[in-house]
Amino acid sequence: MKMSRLFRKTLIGAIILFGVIATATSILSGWNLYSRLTDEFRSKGAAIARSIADSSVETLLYRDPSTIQALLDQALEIRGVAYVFVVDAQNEIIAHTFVPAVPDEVLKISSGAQSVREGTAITDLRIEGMGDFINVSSPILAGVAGAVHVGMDRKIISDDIRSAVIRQQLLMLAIFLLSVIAAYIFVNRISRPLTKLAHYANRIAEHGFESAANSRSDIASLPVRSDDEVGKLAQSFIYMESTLRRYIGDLQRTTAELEEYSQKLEQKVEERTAELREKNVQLEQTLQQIKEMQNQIIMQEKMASLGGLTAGIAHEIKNPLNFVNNFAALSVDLTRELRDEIRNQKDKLDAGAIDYIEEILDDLELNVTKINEHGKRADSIVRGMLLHSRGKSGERQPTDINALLAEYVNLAYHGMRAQDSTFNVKIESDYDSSIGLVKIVPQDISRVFLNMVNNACYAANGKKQQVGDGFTPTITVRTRNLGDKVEIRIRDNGKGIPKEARDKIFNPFFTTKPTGKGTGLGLSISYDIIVQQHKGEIKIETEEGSYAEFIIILPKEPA
Amino acid sequence: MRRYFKRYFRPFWLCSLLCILLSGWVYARDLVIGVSAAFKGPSKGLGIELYRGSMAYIEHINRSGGANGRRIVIKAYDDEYNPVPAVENTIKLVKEDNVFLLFDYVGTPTVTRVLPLLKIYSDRSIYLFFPFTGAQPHRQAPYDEFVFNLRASYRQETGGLVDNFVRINRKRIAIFYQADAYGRSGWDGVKRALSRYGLKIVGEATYRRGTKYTDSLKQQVDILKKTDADAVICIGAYAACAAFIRDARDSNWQVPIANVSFVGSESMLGLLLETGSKAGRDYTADLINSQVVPSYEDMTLPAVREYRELMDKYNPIPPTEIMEEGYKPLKYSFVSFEGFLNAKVLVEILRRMGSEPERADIKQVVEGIKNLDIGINAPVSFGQQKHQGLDNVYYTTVEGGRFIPLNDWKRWAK
Repeated sequence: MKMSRLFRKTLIGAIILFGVIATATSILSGWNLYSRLTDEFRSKGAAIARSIADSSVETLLYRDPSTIQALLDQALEIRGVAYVFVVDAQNEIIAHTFVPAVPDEVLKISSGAQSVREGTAITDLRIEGMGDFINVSSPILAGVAGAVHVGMDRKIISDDIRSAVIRQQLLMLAIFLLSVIAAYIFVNRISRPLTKLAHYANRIAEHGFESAANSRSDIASLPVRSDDEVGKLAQSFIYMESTLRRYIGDLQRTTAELEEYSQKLEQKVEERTAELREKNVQLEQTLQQIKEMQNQIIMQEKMASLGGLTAGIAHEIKNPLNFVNNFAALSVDLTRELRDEIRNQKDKLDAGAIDYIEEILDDLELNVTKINEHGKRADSIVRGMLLHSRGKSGERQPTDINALLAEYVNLAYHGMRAQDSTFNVKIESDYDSSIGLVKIVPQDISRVFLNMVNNACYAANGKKQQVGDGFTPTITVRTRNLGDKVEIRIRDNGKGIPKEARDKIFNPFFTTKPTGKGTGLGLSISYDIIVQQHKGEIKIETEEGSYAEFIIILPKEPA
Repeated sequence: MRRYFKRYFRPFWLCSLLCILLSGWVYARDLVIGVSAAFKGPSKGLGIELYRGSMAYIEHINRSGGANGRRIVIKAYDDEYNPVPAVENTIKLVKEDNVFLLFDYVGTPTVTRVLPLLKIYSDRSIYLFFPFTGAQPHRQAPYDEFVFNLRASYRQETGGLVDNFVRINRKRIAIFYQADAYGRSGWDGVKRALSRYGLKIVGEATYRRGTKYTDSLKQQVDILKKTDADAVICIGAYAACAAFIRDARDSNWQVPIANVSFVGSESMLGLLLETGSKAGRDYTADLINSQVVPSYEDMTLPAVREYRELMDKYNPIPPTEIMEEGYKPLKYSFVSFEGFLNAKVLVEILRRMGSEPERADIKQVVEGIKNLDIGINAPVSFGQQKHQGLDNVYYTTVEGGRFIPLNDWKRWAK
């Protein structure tokens, strides 16, 4: 516990005061005791000496010294008696109690002490090695028979004084300690409120207003009730605090408002920033869309011009090609007619010549047949090219897209089987029955489906050819209702589409099939039908070596 | 029922009554003798050995029918050789134990203080028999009439010692004595004896009663050594005297040292022999002990033979409650021999008092003893003016670790 400074000062003062009082009382009582005890010892010694002297008269005269010695021994048992001795008329010591021998000082006073004969005499005697004594001598039979000397021990006096003084000092000390405790309590009573006030003031100085509860307890501990100076001081402190508190309260309120404003401002700025950011994102998205649209437009333009070009070319080629085809067919008939005619004229003509002619005829027929055949093929290419240019075909009509898809998957599958009897793929389908009717041009869309399923079958089968029996070629067709749109997915687990082919896949005449197997127009036409005609989307998801999936999204109603 | 009772119980209660009467008679037949002596403390050897000697004879008498058919019972208390307990014990013995007489007290300071009590109890005829002290107070008026002594006085002992020392020209005599009535008595004896030759004590030193053997008495030795004394007479108890002799010899002072009978010769010798054997030197040379009984080694004496026989036979021990533990009794000693002789005279007195002894008759009976032979070649006589039975002093010295009669003082002649 920290000692109060006030208390410390008081304590030092008290110690000094106590020391002075203790010393003074010790000296006084020591002196009192000394004179009292000395007097007492003197009178005691005198009484003992006189009594021995009185009772020794007869003993000295008639009895032996051991009887006197017994008397002395008895006297020696009295407290304070240090020695007793008896001298006879010749000043010789006839009995004494000294151990180990009669000291010289005693021999001196016993031999030269004629004056004591008159009456009781008291002298101080110091004996080397024994101490200080009050020597009381009493004459026996008025000194005629000798004298009794009693030595009273001054050491007992000093011991008594010492023990009495010590006891007194202990008492004083106890009282002092009690008063120190009392003073401590008393000073604490004064200093604790002062300390509290100081503490309180410090808190105020440090603006310790945070906790109202704190200050309330502080105030509760303040000695406001006492009507002394401390109490008044405490009241002034409380008044001061309340004033300060009011000012500081105003200040705090203002600060709080300011803070609120700044917070609101910050919030608004943040909101704006967020909006701007959002706009930015939107703008970016729009930009992206624009770019995409641009690309699409460019693509469409490219397609359109390409389509126009091919259509033009096709148209121009179609007429001469018709002639070629028609006349080739005609020429075949003509060769037959010629052969028949030659047979009819068989006997007219040289047999050798006939054989030779017939040989030439066979060659001619074969050539013409080939011309006709390839002409037809060229015609079919041209017709396909013409499809691009043919802007609008059929009418849109509500169609069950699931049924349409199923029909064409089946058709494609059987078509493939018809060409190649070893062909086999597993077909999985998942049609969303909630789609309902979709307004499309069924002839065109069915063309797209056929195209795509054909491609899928080709890819899956191709992989089967490569990998072998462990592989099950699978085609998965799925439809999904997207609300106002329909999603159609056609997936094969074939070799996938290489990255470099992906950009060009919708270009006309682009094909990965061997020459003669594909025209390179299927996907290009499909793209036209879905994107341009039906305002849908067509996307590819693929992983090289494992799958390719064409995703067609069609709006249910034309825009 | 009544008839039944009478028939069977009358003999029974008659028998009981007889028993009670008999026991009362037996009780009344005991002669209780009171003893207060040192059974504890530095002088316990004196009280215990004196008691043992007396009890050896009393036991013998009790076993052979008692004194006039009465058993002699000793009631003993310990006073540790201090006057105050001795006085208290005496009061208790007289008032509570109602003893027939007091016997075998030990010590001058104790006996000296008990004497006034005897005066007070004179109406009851309380007598003190054969105290173990040679001091004067109970040999002189006014107390001599209440005390009967057997042993010679210190004056006789010290006088004899002084006479012998002067005879061999050792005239410078110093005295070492106990600072009390005993010591003063011996001091007075020496002083008186010297004054007959016109001599004085050349030096004196005292010690406090109760000094133990382990205490140093070097100071006293130095005081006396300074006086260049020819001989030292010690009036003290065995512990202090043995310590004085030890310290004197340790400071190479080979003067003859004489002790009186009270010292307890064997106890003193025992201490000196023990220390001697430990220190590897002889502390027993040049020692003279005066005795008041003949040497128990003198087998020509019938009393010595009887004493030895009875001591061997009974080897009595004081009651343990009054005795200090660890005391080793002496087989024979001057003190127990004195106790034995004390008891012998006591029994003779009790015999002479008849079967119904009365205290009032004691004085008359004792004073009537003349020339009683107790087997020591010295007749015991008492008389109206003579309350001391024996006057002989015997001198002994140590040879071969035991006391032998000293016949030739010339070896210390100067």
